[in-house]
Formats: sequence, C-alpha cells, structure tokens
Amino acid sequence: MPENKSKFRFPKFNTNKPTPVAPEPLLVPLGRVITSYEESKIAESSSALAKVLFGRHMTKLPGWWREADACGVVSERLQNFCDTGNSFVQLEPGWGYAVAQEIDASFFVVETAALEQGAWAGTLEPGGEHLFDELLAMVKNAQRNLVTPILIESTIPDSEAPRSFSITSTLTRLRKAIPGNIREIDKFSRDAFSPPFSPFIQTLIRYEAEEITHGQ
Amino acid sequence: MASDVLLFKGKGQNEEVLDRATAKLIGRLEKSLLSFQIVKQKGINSQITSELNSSIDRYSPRVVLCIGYSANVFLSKSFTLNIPFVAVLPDIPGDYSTVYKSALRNLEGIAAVADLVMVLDEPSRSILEYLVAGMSGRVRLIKQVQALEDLVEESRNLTGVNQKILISSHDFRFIADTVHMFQRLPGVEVRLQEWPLASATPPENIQSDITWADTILCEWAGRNAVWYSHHLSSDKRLFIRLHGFESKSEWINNLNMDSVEKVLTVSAFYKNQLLARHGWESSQIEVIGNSINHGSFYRKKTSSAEFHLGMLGFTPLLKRPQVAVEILRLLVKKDTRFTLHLRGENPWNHTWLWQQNIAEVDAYRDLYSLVSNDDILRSHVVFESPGANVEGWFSKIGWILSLSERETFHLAAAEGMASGAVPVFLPREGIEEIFTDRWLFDSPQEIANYIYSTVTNRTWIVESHRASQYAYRFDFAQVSTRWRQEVLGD
Repeated sequence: MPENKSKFRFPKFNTNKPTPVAPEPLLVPLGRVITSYEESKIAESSSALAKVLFGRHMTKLPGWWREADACGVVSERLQNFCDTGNSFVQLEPGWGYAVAQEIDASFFVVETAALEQGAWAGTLEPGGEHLFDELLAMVKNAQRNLVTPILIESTIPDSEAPRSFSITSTLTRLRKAIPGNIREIDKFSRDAFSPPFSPFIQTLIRYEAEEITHGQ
Repeated sequence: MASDVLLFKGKGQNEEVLDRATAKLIGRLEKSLLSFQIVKQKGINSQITSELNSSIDRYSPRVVLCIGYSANVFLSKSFTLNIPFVAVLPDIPGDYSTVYKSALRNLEGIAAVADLVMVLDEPSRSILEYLVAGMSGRVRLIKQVQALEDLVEESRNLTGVNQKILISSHDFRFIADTVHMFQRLPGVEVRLQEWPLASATPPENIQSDITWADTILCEWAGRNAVWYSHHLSSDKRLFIRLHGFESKSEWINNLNMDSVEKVLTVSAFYKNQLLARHGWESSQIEVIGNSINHGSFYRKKTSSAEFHLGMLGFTPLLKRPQVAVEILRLLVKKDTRFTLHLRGENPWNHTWLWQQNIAEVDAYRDLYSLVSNDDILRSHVVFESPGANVEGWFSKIGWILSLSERETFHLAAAEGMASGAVPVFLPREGIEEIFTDRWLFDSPQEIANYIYSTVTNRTWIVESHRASQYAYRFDFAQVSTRWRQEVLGD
C-alpha cells in the first residue's frame, strides 16, 4: 500500500487574521530582461552575425557591394530606381551596421517609406525601439566615417497626441540625426559657384520628383 | 466613506499636464462602475507617505492611484502601502534619448513597488517597457480603465494568510504575475533570490533567507531545488516549478522528493511524462498552466501585420527556425511583401550550444548560409535582437510561428495569440491539449498555403480575433486561484 505522502499541514498559518505588511522592495527585476542597445553592443552583435552570414573576413559579400555609391535603408522602388545607373546596397537589421563599414559608399540613405514595411517595418512605431536605435547607430557610424547621410521622407504625420514623455517623435529624431534632407536641396539653383550634384544625388532628386508625381 | 479607488494627485512641475491626466482618468472612471475619491497632495514630497496613508485610513480604498512622476518617485522610495498601487505617470521628465536616462533608476524604483503603471500614450508605454527593468507587461494606457476594474475586482476576492515566500530562480521571466499577485495578498511577503542555473552552491545570504521564509518556491527545477530538497527543515515547505528541460537534466534525480511539498508543472501531458520518467508520486505533482497577461499584449496591429511572420526565440534548433525560413521561402514566391522576423538570441550567445553541440552548430551555419546566399531571403529574413519590448513588437507581427519539435507549453505562441497574431503549429506531443488543432498543420507547405489563402481571402482579421479570444484561457486570472490554492492553501 502506498505511503500516504499527503503533506497538508494547512492551516499552519493564522488564516483568519492576516497581518497587513508593506511589501519588501523586490531587488531583482521581474519579467523580460532589458537589453542594452548602446552602439558598442550593436556593433558587437552585428559583427558576429555578419561574420556568420558573410564569412569571417566578409569574403562572401558580393563584390560590387564594396564599391557601391551608396548604402542604407530604402524602399524597393528606390532600390530599383538606383539599379538603372547607380549601385545601392540595402542594409538589413542585425547585420547592416557591420556590413556598412565594408562599403566604400559616399552616401547613407534612409527613406522613411522603407521603415513602414519589409525588414525595417515598425522602426518608427512603438515596439520598434530596438530597430530605431540600430538605425541611428548606423547613421552615426556613417557620419563618423565621413559618409553623407541623406533622408528621403514620405508622409508620416507626426502625432499631436499628448505624451507621458516630453519626447520628440521618432521621425523628428531621425530628421535631427540626418540633417541632409533631399527635399531641402535647391534643385534649380543657378548659382555658378555651386558644385554640380553627383550622379547619385541626381538620381535621388529624379526619384523624389517622380515620387511627388506618383504620390499625387 | 469607503471607495474602490483613491486618486491621489501629486504635485509636479507641470500642473497643467497633471490636471489633464487627472481629468482624463476621472472621465473614464465616471463611465465605469468604480467609485472613487480624489485627494490632492498638500504638503511637501517628503511627507507624501504619511499624507497618503491618512487618506487611505479615511476612505479605505481597494486600489490607490498616485498621479505624477515626482510624487511616485518619493512614494516608491519610502513605500509602505499594503494595498494594490497604481503609478500614473503623465509627466515623465526629459527626452528619452538624453535627460531621460537620469530618470531610469527612479522609474525602476516605481516598477518595483507598483502593481500597474499608467501612461498617456502608446510610444511612452513602449519606451518604458523597452528601457526600464521590471516594466515589461505592466504598463497600461490611462484610457484602459478596465485594468483598474480588474485590480479592484481581484482585491475584493483576496484573502490572506501570514506567510513569507522566498522565490529562488535564475530566470524570473515567467513568474512576474505570480509574484505580484502574492505581494497583493494581505499578510503575504515575498522575497526574490537569484541563484544561477549552473551553480550548485547557495548564494551568500542563504541562511538568513531560509530563516526568514515559511515557503520556498523554486522557479525552474534547477540545482537550487536539489539543494533545498536536502537542506530544509521539516517546518519549511518546498515547491518546485518544473518547466520542461529540467526533467532531462543531470541533477534532477538528486532531488529528495520526501522534502518536496509539490512539483508544479504546466500541463497534464508533462505531469504524465514526469510520472513515467521519474516514478514520483502522482499526489506530489500538480498542474498549473503557464500564463500570460492578456491585457498587456492586446494592442493595435500595424496595417501590414498580416505580411509579417514572427518567431520569438529561435534557439535551440528544436524550435526549427529552418522550417520558418522554408515557410517564408514558399510565401515570398507568391508575394514579396511577406517577411520573417526571427527575434531572440543568436545561437553563439549560448555557450552550451555553440561550444558543445557540433551537429547543431553545423545546422545553424547551413541556415545562415541559406539566408545570406539568397538575395530574396537576405532581405526577407530579419534577425532581431532580444529585448523587453516584446508586447509592442507584436504590433507588427500577424503570424506567430510555433514549429518546435518539443515544448512544454510555448509561451511565445500564447503571447502572440493574445496580441492577435494568428498561430501556426506543426505537430508535437501534447500540443492539441493546449492550443487545439485549429491551427495545426502537417507540413511547411500546408502552413504556407494556409497563410497565403488567409491573407488573399481577407480572413486574417477574423482569425486574428479568434486567436486573441482563444488566448484568454491563458490569462493569469485563470490560474491565479490555482497558485493560491497550491502555495497558500487558500
């Protein structure tokens, strides 16, 4: 016959008159663990992933990538547009930070339309903070390497709703991080002293003009 | 005069913001069934605790809401409340990228004592979850007064016992709701003890912790559980929560089951497996299902969510990320808008896997090669780092993939479902008992066909709603009674 192992020792506590007690502060945070998205961490994890994807010395990177005019995060439409004359490397979350450093690009382009869908979907939205930090780290790194960042904005309205933080919107922060906005280039300048636009910038200007027509 | 809710409006630098938030809350409360009282802070912040306590004595509320960042910071530093407490934060100072960091510690302090935190807007909620330890899953919008109704309702049903519970674990991810529930019970005190999984040696303060505690709950059946089973006196009760992998660990057979009050497992299927594998007494094993906080996951989806597949956690290989990639490959052939998001640690961050399991490492290398060598997959398979902003992350995910060969439960699937992501499963033992067979398929091809046809037939929204409804059964409210019954004898 099995031993009765029932260990009901209730009630060994005074169940009738519980004493109200203030909770001890929990010294260990509960729930999911906060991950640091400092640039150094992003660089470290991006490098590890890029090595697994493209080889220890990035030897498996497509050859033309290294000589591309520009890299960054843009829509499929702009990628196709660039294919006609200028080479552009689309960078993706996870490995983009590390691979960008292998590319001898002059421009780092971010198109906001590309942050609404595909791999970077949600970057400007709640829940996309980690992607936003990754993108900002890429922009900062490009600036350090004397690569010119350029922003191509589609129409994402800034929310006017009251917020608990006096935070600027993600789009405003992106604008701040990337002062070069393609919309603000004076395409009709006849100033004789202005340098001619590079072929890549000309492509972007053409694209933006078409986008406006397309949008209308 | 007793009331359900006491609104304590603190002082702040921006009175206008506090007034607006208070008015918004009052507006919502007036439409609810809750009775409430409003009290305004009169004295300086250092007197806030005594001021609040005297209001509590006067109105005997079931739940206290403190409005304002400053007031909540001061309150959290000298916290003495023993009733459910909600911190309402409409005025967190600074910009999240700069000044905000100085407020991190204060916010962590608030998270440590508050049952809920309320903010004005979705971006602020998401940033808190992303950056502040302990906030994950516990932040609501001010307009979500239902959360207050739930808290009041729960407090009506609370009965207490005088009991001190020590919870020992290497990972407190899955026990947060249980800890908060215990803390809300009159007379119950909770202390958390960190004990690394690999360590067989107790932490420094073990003797004082044991002396303090009436009950020890080991979250995961780690080496700590084995140690306690050999070192506790008979007047202490030991509960062990066994999630799954521990059942096959090298240490599990060293458990002294004579000292164990109950082993708590997550499904009847696993209970039977434990009985068969270890020969433990059936009366010593109880089932308490894993749970989620449904309200924290249910958020508005982005407009393109139906094209985004998510896998939360893709190591070890038994999660079958390679099958997820295969499903995506089949889908992008038909529509290039489909994208797969693999979120979690990469395998090399788990030394036990990357340095010890050559076959598995090779399989992962094959997977990464497959992705990098294919132009389409490279831009449609996204590797996203782990983080605490999972609830918000699900806003863009329309499909949650649960393809594992083996899982005790798979919390990520339940969380995704609660968010409105439609689950898809491949067969594994015990799955139908937990998730039904509605979303169960035999092959990646079948899954891809189902996803594609659901999107093209525009029935994704219907399935999304159905999945979220189904996931209510995993809500913590459904299992909280079981926890009280087992651990407190309630």
